[in-house]
Amino acid sequence: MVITPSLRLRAPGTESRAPSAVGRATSCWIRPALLLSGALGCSSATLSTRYAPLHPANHQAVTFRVIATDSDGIASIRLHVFEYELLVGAAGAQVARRRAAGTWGAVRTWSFPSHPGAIDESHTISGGFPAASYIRYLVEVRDTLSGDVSDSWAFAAGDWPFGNSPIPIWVNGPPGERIDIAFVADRTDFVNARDMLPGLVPLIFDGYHENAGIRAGRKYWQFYYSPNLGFISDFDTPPRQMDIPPSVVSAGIIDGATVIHTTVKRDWAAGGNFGTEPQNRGTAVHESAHAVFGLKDEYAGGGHASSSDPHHNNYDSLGSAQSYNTSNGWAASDAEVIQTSWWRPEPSGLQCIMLDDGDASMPEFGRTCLHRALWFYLQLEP
Amino acid sequence: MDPKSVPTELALYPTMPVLLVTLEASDAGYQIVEARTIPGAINRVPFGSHDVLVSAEDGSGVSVASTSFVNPRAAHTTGAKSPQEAVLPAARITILLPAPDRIRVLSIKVVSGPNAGLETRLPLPSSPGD
Repeated sequence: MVITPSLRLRAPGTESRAPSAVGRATSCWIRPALLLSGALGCSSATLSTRYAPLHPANHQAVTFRVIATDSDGIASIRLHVFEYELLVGAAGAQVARRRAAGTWGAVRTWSFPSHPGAIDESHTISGGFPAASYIRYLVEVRDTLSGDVSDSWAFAAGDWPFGNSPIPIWVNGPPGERIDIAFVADRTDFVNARDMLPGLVPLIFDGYHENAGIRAGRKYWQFYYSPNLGFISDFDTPPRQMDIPPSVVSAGIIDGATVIHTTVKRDWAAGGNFGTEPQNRGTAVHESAHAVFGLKDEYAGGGHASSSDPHHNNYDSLGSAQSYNTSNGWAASDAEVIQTSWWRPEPSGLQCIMLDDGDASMPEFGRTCLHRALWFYLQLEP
Repeated sequence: MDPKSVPTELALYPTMPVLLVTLEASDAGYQIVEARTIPGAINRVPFGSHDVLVSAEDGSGVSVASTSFVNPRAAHTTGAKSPQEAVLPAARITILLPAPDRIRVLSIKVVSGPNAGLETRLPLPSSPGD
């Protein structure tokens, strides 16, 4: 089966429970393995959630938003919010404990007698949350055939009590089984790291989550930000310098850092870290694909190397690129030269984001790179 | 997540003792800048490119862990317009390894990028604890 990048994929991590009444499970989430095998048997249902503002201040209003589609018609939505207080536990561990008299459970239910195929709803907790809060939320969507899907995430709210350690703004699981990215505010443009947060909302929710390859593994991408500032120099103005705060480097849970700046610079990447303006979402996904998936550039003059990893996008011989294609059911002739000694297995016509990052636009991954991303997500599973 | 069985207390990040090692790469090769045990999380699969391979060995030379990372000295501009590369004079990278109590030596092999072909063995400081 050829997987087209434009296919809208249900993000793994949105759970499906079997309907309680007789009927069929009309909603499901697509396991990467199923996607790779071509077993796409689900209805065209989607669910995404978000909240704002990121890392809300003490008692700042927080709005939760639900965007869902379901060809079987949406019957109801329920939003649950669970409020914890943060404290230092045994051996200095960062612990969250249910806050006495805090919010705990369902806070809003929407019913849709007209059974729309698409909804976009929001709920605001106007009083927000106090200092040292950790908020988990769960959204459950039920369709007309009693199929359920859900989405659940957590974030810090109020004054962060753990010093300079990275602050979670979008998390849902153990770091060892996730891709953990920390955003670092560039001191060129920011006095306080929090000032960077508004620019991260479109970068994450309308950037990373808009890319099909990222959306397919949305569950695995966790985001934090550093209370400390960092810096990245302009590539064309040596000495080239990239300062990632020690509290990020030594956090023990962060896989890569992105320095966010608003002054236009010629950005660069090294050591799995990179810089970008927040609006250059295509650049962010492209560089993240290097740092996380090990994908290489598909354009001449970029970084090229071969790899034994499955679904690599650079080959040092035409024959190897062609063999990769035929072994995956694609035409050998699709392989194209990148530059002397390097070939890409996927044709330029697929417009892979590794061929052109698109800057502020969001190209999709080509078929090879998409397979690579899906394979990688599977490796994160215990 | 079942809303009826949400835990009332949880650790933000399940962690285990890991060995944090900061390496510095330069024209002179690789050296260990820092090695200490911290609470952390080891990824189930190495991230990024396998430009530099690391094998962590115990006192008998037996490998107890391995990982890889992108060459820290290789810098490249972002975007496809007028791409450029540069070699950083020196660069540091931090890696995490399991079994901190057993690791005594890091065996490093640079496969690609700056310092390609380098193979070196770096003994850890005698007490890589906190």
